[in-house]
Order: sequence, then structure tokens, then C-alpha cells
Amino acid sequence: MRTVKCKIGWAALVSLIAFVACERDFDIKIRNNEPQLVVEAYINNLMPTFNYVILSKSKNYYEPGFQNTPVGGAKVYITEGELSADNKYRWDETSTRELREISLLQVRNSPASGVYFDPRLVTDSANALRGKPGKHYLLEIEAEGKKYTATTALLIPVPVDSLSTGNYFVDEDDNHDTMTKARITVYFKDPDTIGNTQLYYWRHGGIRNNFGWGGLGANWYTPGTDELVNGQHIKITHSYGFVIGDTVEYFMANVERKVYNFWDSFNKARDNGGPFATPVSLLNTINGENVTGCFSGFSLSTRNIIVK
Amino acid sequence: MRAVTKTNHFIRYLVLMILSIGAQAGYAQNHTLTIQVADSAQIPVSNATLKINKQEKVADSSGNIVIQLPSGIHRITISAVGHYANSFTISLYRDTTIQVLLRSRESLLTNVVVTASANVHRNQMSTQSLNIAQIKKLPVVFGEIDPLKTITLLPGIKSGGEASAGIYVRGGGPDQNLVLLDGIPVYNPNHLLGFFSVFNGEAVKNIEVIKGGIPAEYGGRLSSVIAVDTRDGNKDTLKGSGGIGLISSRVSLEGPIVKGKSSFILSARRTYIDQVAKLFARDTIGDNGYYFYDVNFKADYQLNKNNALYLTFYHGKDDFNFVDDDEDGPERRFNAVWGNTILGLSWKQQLNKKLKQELALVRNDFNLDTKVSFGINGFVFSSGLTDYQLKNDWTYTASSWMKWKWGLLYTLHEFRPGAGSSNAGVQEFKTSITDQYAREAAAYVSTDLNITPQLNIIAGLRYSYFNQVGPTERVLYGPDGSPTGETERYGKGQSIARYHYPEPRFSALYRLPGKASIKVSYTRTIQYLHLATTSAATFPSDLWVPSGSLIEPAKAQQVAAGFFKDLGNGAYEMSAEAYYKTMSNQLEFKPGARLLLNQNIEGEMIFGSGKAYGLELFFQKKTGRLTGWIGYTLSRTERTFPAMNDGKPFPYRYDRTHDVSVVANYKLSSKWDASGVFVYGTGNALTMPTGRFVYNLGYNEYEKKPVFTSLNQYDKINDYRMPAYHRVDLSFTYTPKPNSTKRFKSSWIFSLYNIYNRQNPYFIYMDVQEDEQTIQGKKVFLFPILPGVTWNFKF
Repeated sequence: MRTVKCKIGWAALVSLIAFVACERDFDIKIRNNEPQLVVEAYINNLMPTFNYVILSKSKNYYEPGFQNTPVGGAKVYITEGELSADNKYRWDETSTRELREISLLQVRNSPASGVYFDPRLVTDSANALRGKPGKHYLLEIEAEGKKYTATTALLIPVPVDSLSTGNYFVDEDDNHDTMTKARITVYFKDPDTIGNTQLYYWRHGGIRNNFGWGGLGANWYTPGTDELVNGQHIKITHSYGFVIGDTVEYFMANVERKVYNFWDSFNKARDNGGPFATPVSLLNTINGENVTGCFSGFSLSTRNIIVK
Repeated sequence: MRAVTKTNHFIRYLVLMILSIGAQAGYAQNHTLTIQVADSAQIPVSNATLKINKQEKVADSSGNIVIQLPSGIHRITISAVGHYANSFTISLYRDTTIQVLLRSRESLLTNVVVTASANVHRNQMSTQSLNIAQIKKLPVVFGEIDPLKTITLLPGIKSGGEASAGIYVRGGGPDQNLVLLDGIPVYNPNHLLGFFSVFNGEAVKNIEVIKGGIPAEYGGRLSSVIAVDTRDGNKDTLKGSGGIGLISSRVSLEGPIVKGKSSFILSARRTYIDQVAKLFARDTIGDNGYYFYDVNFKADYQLNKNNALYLTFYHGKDDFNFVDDDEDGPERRFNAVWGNTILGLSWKQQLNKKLKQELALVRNDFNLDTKVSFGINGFVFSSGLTDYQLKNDWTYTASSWMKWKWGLLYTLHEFRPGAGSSNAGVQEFKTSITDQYAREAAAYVSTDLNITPQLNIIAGLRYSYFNQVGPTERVLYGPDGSPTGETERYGKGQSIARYHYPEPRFSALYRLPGKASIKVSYTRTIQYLHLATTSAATFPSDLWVPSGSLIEPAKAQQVAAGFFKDLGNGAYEMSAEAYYKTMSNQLEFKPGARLLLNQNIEGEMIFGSGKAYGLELFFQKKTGRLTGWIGYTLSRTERTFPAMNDGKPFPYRYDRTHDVSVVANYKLSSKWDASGVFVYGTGNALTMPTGRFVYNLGYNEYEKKPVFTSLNQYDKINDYRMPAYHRVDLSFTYTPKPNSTKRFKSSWIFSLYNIYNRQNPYFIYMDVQEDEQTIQGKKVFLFPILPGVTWNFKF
């Protein structure tokens, strides 16, 4: 049965026409595309369990289910190297690590299929894959008979000078219980060189034990470039509300521009709706045929704060 | 070369009687004769003079002359400056209203509309005009008269859809139309979302669109000229008019400043959409609101019989407020105030019988102020541009077979791309994107030659020049969009980028026997300004950006050929035109491009080419109780961008294979007029997803389930077609006392928009409910069947 309801605004613009706009179910016939390999790969300098590669496939638009379609049995390697003055990579083949589909003891319920870790996380966790600031990393994948490569750089971390809490507000949960929450402000000095870009993550309370970068809290809305504030002391207050008394582990990831651009496109693609939006495709930093995704080098600095 | 007599070239007089003028029985008493004087474009001639015996009477601003005459036969002469006089005899035996058309002495190039013989004998092809009287008869949404909307009923001129601001002429973009208000460019011709244009029907006299064969005096845009002329005020008596509609009201006052020499007209309009909306849904509308107002003012002063001054002023302001404080997330507030202010002063001079000139000085300003807050995040943003323009046009009528036009144009552009500051302590900055300056100039010359009685040629050359200059600072960016750390600084007046191009224009007319003609034209146009927008609706966040060192000017070439014929002694007219247009340096923005407060806006642009071709058919019935037209366009418009669609051509979003419009007016009685409109158009082209995948995967330990973000996979650009757009509208105009001689007159317009309640999608989207594991396509449509009523009055 078709449903009919009056639509009261998708966004600010539509509010204007809300009193006459109506919405109906509509059969949109779309063409299916060839499945694409999706690569989600990370290397960071602080948390070895957060250095992993996830391989999955895209599916037809109307195909049931929203879980990822893992791609198992692939060969995945990460190699450390340097970028020489002549702009050529020199990879240290002795540093090559093969990542495999394993279940981690450190991460309960960690998915096995399609998620590739350094096996040393199980056997020799002290020497597990860990990124070094200033180094470059090569990702090589062999999956379903095809080869893919990508590179990323681990920049020098930008220290978090301090964190503070404030900007209190009263939040209401689904049961209409109210609670006073606070927002976190981060202070840091932007490096004098222009072109620095950052991403912001945190874990706390209920998400403290979550696995993966997608399991952490993040602020996708705050611009993370220094084009308008180069070299200044920066103060950013995140909108997210934290429970008073909670301990927050805060991460600031200094990232190279192509990684920032990728996550910027991710933010636009995830928020891609409304009548006036132009469809946004995820950018791609992976070389190969019919592939999308990013090899993200996160150069992390971190601080903890108890929310007051 | 053969001498060509004037009588061979022109039809001197054209008189059309609308109503019967004779009753056989008569009495020796006075009757009221009302004469509506208009020119061949059906535009009222406000300065016409009636002579009868020794009496003289001057027409009012609406071209009306009312005179009391005794029963009998009268010889009447009507004359007006710039028109051929018209003498005729009338038998007056009762109160009578007639319409008299005066033929303009002006070149056939100006203000000629879809009227008898005009399109057949006028060299200018691809041109169509509507006067406000025609526009007022047609049904419109909410009964709100809008000249810019109405012209989209003509072939080759398309709207993007309901509430879409853009006008797309022969495959060109909405920023490629030179929209002129009394010759002054208008940068943002629409109020919010394109519901209404900035042109108040109360102030407008007529609107003309040139789609091809653009004369050399016009330039700066690729695709068309949309010229809106406003009315002159009444030079003799104070008069008023207005209208009260469902969502807006308008009022106009006009009269003499110095009787017989100088006049003014002031028109104002304000919407009350916000108040109406609150009546329907007070709870949901809350603090949200939107209104606009605009004011038109025009004054003229006749210095002497050869010199006149004209002042044109427009000011419009939109105010939009949106508050979303529901429980789904942080409170969102958005407030935007924007508008145009236009001021123009012109001096028209007739130096002698052959030579005349017009000198115009213009200031044109657009401003936007926005405040946005999202939770504690927020910023204020302002942007705008200002133009100062000097224009001088000359016309020399050397002989009956040769005429010359030449002129100069100089514009100084000041662009204010943006200034912003935080207001909520998020990322504390106060910054401004560097202002930009540019000089634009053009010189043109064209000649209009009647080579034989059958062959007329207009050949022109426009030479345009554009120079972006300092003072400015330009941050240099690398290919990945990151700043290099280097900055280029330019001093005041220092050249940053310079372009100049010849723009040849040519058109030829060959008259065939049997009131028919064929025409061909070639046009090359250059556009130095680009509209930066990523949305289908022209929202005020759109920015005009100048050509510079990275952005080259857009160029277009168009050839067109057409066949024109009058039928039934001028009662019918038909035309068929074909065109082929190529466009280069077309600009698109990368999907998701950040336009506001972006110093590297040029880095968000990609460039490509475009191609458009089509066939336009037009058939019009111009006399009788039933008048109207049928227009049909078969066309194809595509774009090719190396960085999009794997470099392969893809349909332009507003590519419309078939476009049909049928417009009919029917005089039911002396009191009732009916009008109907039917439109049909192939659906817009869209990019729809072809697959899905997940990203940013994680595992929620507390809820024991994975977390991820579902994203769409896209393939070909604009590969999906929306359903065809079609609807029928009707309107009825009721004039209670059509023959009333009283000063106060009124009429009612009752309209029904979309009478068969077609649910034309405004947009479609996929409603994805991950929790319920469902995906459902949705369409949102704006206007179901909508009644409208407007009361118009004049005194």
C-alpha cells in the first residue's frame, strides 16, 4: 500500500515550501553496476590494533541487507619506506608485513572475514605493525586475481596542547530523561607551514571498547584545514555532548592532504541527500581496476580528560 | 544597388478593431469612445495624441484615451512620437471601445513581438516577446504574475521545473542569459528558489527573449538576452493600480512630476507567504518564515523634443529564516538576507533626423548576509558584487536601405567572494576571501542593409575585453588542493589575467512570395563571468566569479536557420527554426565542492565543453475570440568533461528531448476571458546510484553489532530520466464593468493550476531505512491542483 504524508522540510530551504509539498512512494528503476572492491586501510603510530585493512564489495542497489560483503582470502602487505628528494619512493622490503584474516584476543568479537591484521598482534604484540611519523607506507593487495596498491604518509603529529570542557547543555534521551552534558574544546598550535589537515576522534563511556575507527566518536563537521588560520593557536569545540564525569580519550590525527580529501568526500557522501545535492562519489586513493577506498595514514597525538 | 522605396519595405499602418464599432440605430446624443493605443508589439503607447476636429487628447500610461463624442461619423487621427500616425473613420452610435495599433518608426529590431508580419519581415530571428497584457491573461501558480516564468512557454526557452530558478535557452545554463531590466544587467533575477522572479508585473511593460542571432549591441553572456522593459509613468494625471493575491500584494502609483514633460512610476510588492503558511500549519512552521519585497521606480524628464532623461531604480530584499529545534539533533538556525539594488540614469538624444544616441550610467549591487548555527557551531557570512557601468549607443539611419549602430560599454566589477567570522567559539577566526576586481569593455558596430526588397542583411562585430586586476592576494595551490605556501600579490590596477575576443554576428533575411521568409544567423558570444553553484535551485549562496588566470572565458558559437510564414492575412503565423550550438570552457564544480569561504574556489572547478541542437516549431493564432499558440521543441543538449563520466559526453541535466506548450485565450463575453495552458516536457536527467557499499566499519562492543556507513556507488552521469513533466492550468478573468468610464476599475482573476492534479516530481530520492532493512524510492511534488484568486484594480 502506498503511503502518503505531508513532508515538512528536508532542510532549511524546503521548509519554505513545506506547506504545499507532498511525498509519495515512487518506483525508481535503476541500472545495476559491476561490483567494486572497497578498501578501508589504516596505519597509525599509537594503536597497533587499529592498523588494519578491510576488504569488501559493493552490491546492487536493491540487494537486501546492509552489512558489508567481505572479500576473504586476499593477500595483503604493508611495507615501510621513504620518499627521497627526487620524489621517488624507496621501500624497505625487510619491513614488509603480511596482514591476515585473524580473530584478535585483544578485540573481542572482532570480525574475521575480510578484516586483515598483522598476525604479530597475537604472537608478538610488542612488535606488531606500528607506523612511524615521517615514514611512508605501501599497501599491496591481491584479491580475486587482481592487484591493487596504495601509498600513504605518516606526518609528524601535531601535539594537543590541552583539552577543556564546557558549553553545557541539557540533553534528552529517548525516554525523555534529561541530563546535563558538556562539550570538549581542544587547543593546539597549527604548524607554521600551511597545508596541515586534521581529523578528530575520541572514545569514552559506552564506546570505550569499540573496535575500529568507525566505532569511535568523530567530528565530521568541523573543517580541519589551516588555510584560513595558518600558524595560529587553534581552539575547536566539538558539538558532541559528553556525560559529566566520563573519561574521554581524545585523538587528533594529522593527515596528508589526499587522506583529508578522502575523508572530506566521505563526509559529503554520507550526508548526501536533499533536492539540491549533487551526488558525491567517494574519492579513491587506491590504484587498480574497479576499486575505491583509502589507505589512511593517521599521525596521532592524544590526551585524556575527565568531563567536568 | 536598387533604390528601395519605403512603401515597399514597410506596412505603414496596422489597425485592429477588437470590438464592433457600429450600431445602426442612433440618437443625437454623446457617447463614450475609449481608444486603446498600442504599438505593433501590443505595448501601450502612453504618449499618443488623438485629434478629432479641433480637439486633442493625450493617452494615459496604459495607452487609453477616453473622449465623449456626439453620435455620427468621425474622422480620427492618432499620432505619437516615434510612430507613424494613423487616421481612420469611425461610426459612433453607442459607447464603444476600440484598439488602435501604431507602427513604430523605430528599427524593426526593437520590441517586435509575435504579432502580424513581425516575425516574417523582421531580420532578427530567434526572438520572441510578450507584453504584460498577454502575460496577465495567463494562469500562474497562486495567481502571481511573473514575466520570467511565462516566457518559458515559448519554444526553446525552458524552465528547470517548478520552483526552479533557472531559465535554459537552447541548451545553455541559467547563468548564460543576459537578463536586463531597462538595459541594466540583473545578476540574481529570482527570489528564493525561483518561485518568483524579481520582475513585478505591475511595473513591467514587456519582455523579449533573443535566443540566437544576438545583435552586436548585446554581449557578456553566451546563450540569450532576456530584456525586461518597465512602464513609463503617466505624464498628465496621478493614477494608481494594484492587485491583492493569496500570497502577495502589489501597488503602483504613477503621475506627472512636471505635467506633460516629466513623469514617475513607483511600484512595490510584498509577499506574505510566511503569514499564510502559519495559518495552515502554525505548529510546524514555528519561527520559520520567508518574505520578500521589491520596489521599482522609474522617472523620465523630456528636456525638449530631442532630449530626454530616464532614471530607473530597483531594490529588492529577501529574508529567509529557518529554525529546526526538533529532538533529532542539535538546534539548527539559518537566516539569510539578500537582494539586488539597481540604479540607472540614461540620456536619450535625437541629434537630427538620422542620428541619435543614448548614454547610460549604471550602478548594480548584489548583497548576501547569512547567519548559520548548528548546535554551538556557527558563523556569519557575507558576499556580494558591485558593478559600475557606462554605456553609449548610437544609431545612424543613413538612408531607407542602410542603418548603422555602434557603441561602447565599460564595466568595473567588484567581487566580494566572502567574509566570515565565527560567532559561537568553534574555530575562532575572522577572515575574508580576497576581493576581486575586473574591467570589462566592449565596442561594437553593425550595419543593417536592405540589399534588395527581398534581401536584408545585418552584419556586426563586437570586440570584448576583460581584465582581472589587483589589488588582490592569491594563495597558490597544488594539484591535490593543498596550499603550496606561496602567495601572489597584485597591486591596485595590476593585471592578473587579460582576455579579448572578436564576436562576429551575422543574420540574413530573404522574403519569399506569399508573406513568408527564410532567415539564417551566426553568433559568436563570449562570457567572462561564471556563476558558482552546485545546486539546481539558484540559492543566494551562489557566487559570481570572474575569469582569471585559471578560469578562462566561456565561448559559444551558434548557427540557426528558420522559415517564417503568415497565414490568413496575418491572423496566423508559423515558424520553424533549427539551431546548432557549441560551447567551450563550460564550468562545473566538483561534486561536494565547498564554495563558501574557499580561497581556492578555482581549484573546485572542472572545465568541459557542450553541444546543443534542436528544432523549434511555433504556430500562433493572433486574432479572433480565440488566440494563442502551440510551441514544440525537439532538442538535445550534452556536456563533455574530461574529469567526469570517463570523459564521455553525457546529457545536460535539463536536456529535454520533447517540449510542448499550448497557450489559448478565449473571450467568452465582454466581461469574461478564459485562458488555458498545457505544458509537456521530457523529464530532467539525473545521476542515480547503481550500487551500495559500506565504509568506516567498526564494531560496537556495547550493542554487540557492527557499525558502518552505507554509501552509494555511482556510474554514468545523468543516466536516469525523471518522469515527464506535464500539467494544464486554467484562468478566468472577470471584468465587472468593462465599459465603465469611471476612474476606478477592477477585475478578478480566478486561476486553477495543475487542474488534473498531476504529481510532477520536484525531486526524487531513495528512502533508506537501515534499521528496518528497507529501501523505497520517493518522489516529492510541490503543487497539486491549486486555486488562486487575485483582485486587480486601477484608478
